[in-house]
Amino acid sequence: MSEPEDDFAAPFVMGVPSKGRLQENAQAFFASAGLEFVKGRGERDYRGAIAGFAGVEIAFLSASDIIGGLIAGALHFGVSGEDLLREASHRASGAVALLAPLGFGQAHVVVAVPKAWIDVATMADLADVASLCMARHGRRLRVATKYIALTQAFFAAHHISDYLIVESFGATEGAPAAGQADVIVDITTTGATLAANALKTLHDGTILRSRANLMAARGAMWGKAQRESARRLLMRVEAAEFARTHKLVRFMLGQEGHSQNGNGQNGHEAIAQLAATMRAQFGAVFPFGLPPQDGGESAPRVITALSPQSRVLALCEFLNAAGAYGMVVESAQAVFLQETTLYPALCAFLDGA
Amino acid sequence: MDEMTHLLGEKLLGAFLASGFVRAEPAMLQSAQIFLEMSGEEMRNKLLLVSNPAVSNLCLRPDYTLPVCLEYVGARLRAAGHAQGQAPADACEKICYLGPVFQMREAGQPHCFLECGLEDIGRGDRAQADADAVHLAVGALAALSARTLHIRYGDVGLLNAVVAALEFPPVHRRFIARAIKHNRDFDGMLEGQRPGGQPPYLGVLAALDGQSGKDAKKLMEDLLAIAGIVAVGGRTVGEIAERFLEKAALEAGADALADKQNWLARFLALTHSGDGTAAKLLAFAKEANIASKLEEPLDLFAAREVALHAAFARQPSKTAPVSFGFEARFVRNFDYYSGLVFEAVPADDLDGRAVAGGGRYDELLHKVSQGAFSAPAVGAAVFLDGLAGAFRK
Repeated sequence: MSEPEDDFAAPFVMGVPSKGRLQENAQAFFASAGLEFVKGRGERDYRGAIAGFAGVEIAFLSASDIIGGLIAGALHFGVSGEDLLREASHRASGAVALLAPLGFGQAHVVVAVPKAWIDVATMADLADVASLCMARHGRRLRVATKYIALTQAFFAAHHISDYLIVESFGATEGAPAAGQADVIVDITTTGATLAANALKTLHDGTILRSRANLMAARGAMWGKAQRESARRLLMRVEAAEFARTHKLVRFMLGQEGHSQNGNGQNGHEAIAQLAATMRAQFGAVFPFGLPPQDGGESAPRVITALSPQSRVLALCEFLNAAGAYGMVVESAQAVFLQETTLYPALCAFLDGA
Repeated sequence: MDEMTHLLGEKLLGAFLASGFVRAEPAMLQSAQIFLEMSGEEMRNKLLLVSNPAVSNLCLRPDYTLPVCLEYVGARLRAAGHAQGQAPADACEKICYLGPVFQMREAGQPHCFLECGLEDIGRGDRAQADADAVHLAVGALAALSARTLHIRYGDVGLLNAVVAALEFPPVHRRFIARAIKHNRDFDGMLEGQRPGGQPPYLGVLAALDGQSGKDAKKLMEDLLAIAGIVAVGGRTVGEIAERFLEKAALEAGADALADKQNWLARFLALTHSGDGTAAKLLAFAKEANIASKLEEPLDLFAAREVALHAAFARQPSKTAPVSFGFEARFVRNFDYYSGLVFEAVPADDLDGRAVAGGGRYDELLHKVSQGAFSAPAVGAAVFLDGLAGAFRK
């Protein structure tokens, strides 16, 4: 398939949620990467752009429409929930890849039943109640949900067939009380809405743990220009993400506080060994490399390292014990490392099997 | 669909018409809801739905039996209505059909094939009616065939009777039905009913110990009412209380369970080729000490075996032979059938797709008429799907 060298006709389009918490979080995420969304002129215009970043068109759509757009190849990138992609998986079949979780939108797709059903705690109990419903009332247990494919697969895996799905695209939690269904399959974050509707989840009733993801569509028009737009976008995103999940540690290793390593190694070797331990035990990365071999220079050396947020304080303890001093822990705004992972992953997806 | 297939269909239909069956022509477009309600969610992915802004929830018929039964029930009820409030006369109808049916196969492939079959409604002589249905459909097919056919059959009525006779607790009886339907083993029969081993609410159970069934239930209902629990989502407080107590009772009968499970497993493992199946089943029932509870289904089975043997013994010499194999575990669509269940496959391709199938469904008319009408029924259909190549004219 020939790729257009210079394609003005097919802009690079990224779908972004148009409302709700997903919209707020997506906006904040990209803003922290220096990418501010700007809406098009006119209220009804669902297209926009990124301020100061040419070559990318933003399409403001519902989270489900973004999935549809990715599958159809109308969007190159999209921000949406894993739950919606998995629900559409039989249509997607490898056409859409999850590039990176974005650190928000965590939710579970769960089976929830009325709290009043004190005899039901597991899917096995639910299977039994479904059989009873059929035997006693001659009707099937009704399950209200918008996740038809996920529900079918999950119930089949638990050997429940005596049920019928009642399609519900909003306020699913209210369906049992309104008499439209007996149980529901819905997405939940804190569980507060379920509790407020007198519903409870089952011990083994979690179908999927979902997060918001940046997704890529194989079926879109990928020419040189589109790939370049994607590369630049991903570079910013990866830089912001790395900065968000890591902390900077600056510390001194000089003659005074020189790492007392009992083997009497010289300065450079000692630093190399320290760095190796930091990499191995604390996931440290050295964005400016290590101080050059100086052959006897006695001036104190500032070393800069980046470490995952969860391990940075343990790293400081270690450095302290190793004789480092003047440790400062900072947050970075963006970190552009030489080796990126997102763009290579995208290329592998687009070009691979 | 090629000419050969159409020809085959016409010949089969001819055989049914010659035996006194009348052709029905139900609509190709049907309401999807009835199929969903009869067969559940698995049907949703098999149905080819028709959409249009004006109508929703229509589908192309995936088979004939439900449309034929719906049409029949409608006609009987209308006739009964016109007869000034009289109850419908004893319904005795022989219906046959020939035409295309539509299903979505695996891997998203819409599929259309010719189905030719019959429904025999209302006959009280069940054993003979069963034998007639099988003989008509499969016998006619064998007469046109170059290949030996094998009929694999079971008896859902007998299976249900065995489970009932072994007197499993209600929770386990339902579990067994599901396990059979999904073709699973009974491992985890007890474990599956409660997480983590300890029964819940031991204090309540202790308080209930020694109470009669009715008192225990009343106590449970009162407790739920005190806790402010109202009926939500289609189950009454009484139903919740009842099942809670059923689960509690499971603890008591745990010892006898292994024994019953064994007998059931042995029954399900029973198979037999050719004649003498009824005798083998009777021997099993006696050994398990449940023969007295299985008199009716076993008598029916024996009578049917005799009738089948007689019917197929009368086949003209030029027809391909037909072999029979009983499998206690063979149920096809467990909820649908109430008695005989069968499938015919080419004897040289036993694991291949069935070329014919059917069985007895005495509850079906009651279900589709939502309780207004009831009659025994048995049916058989031939699936003219790529058959033509294997059959001579």
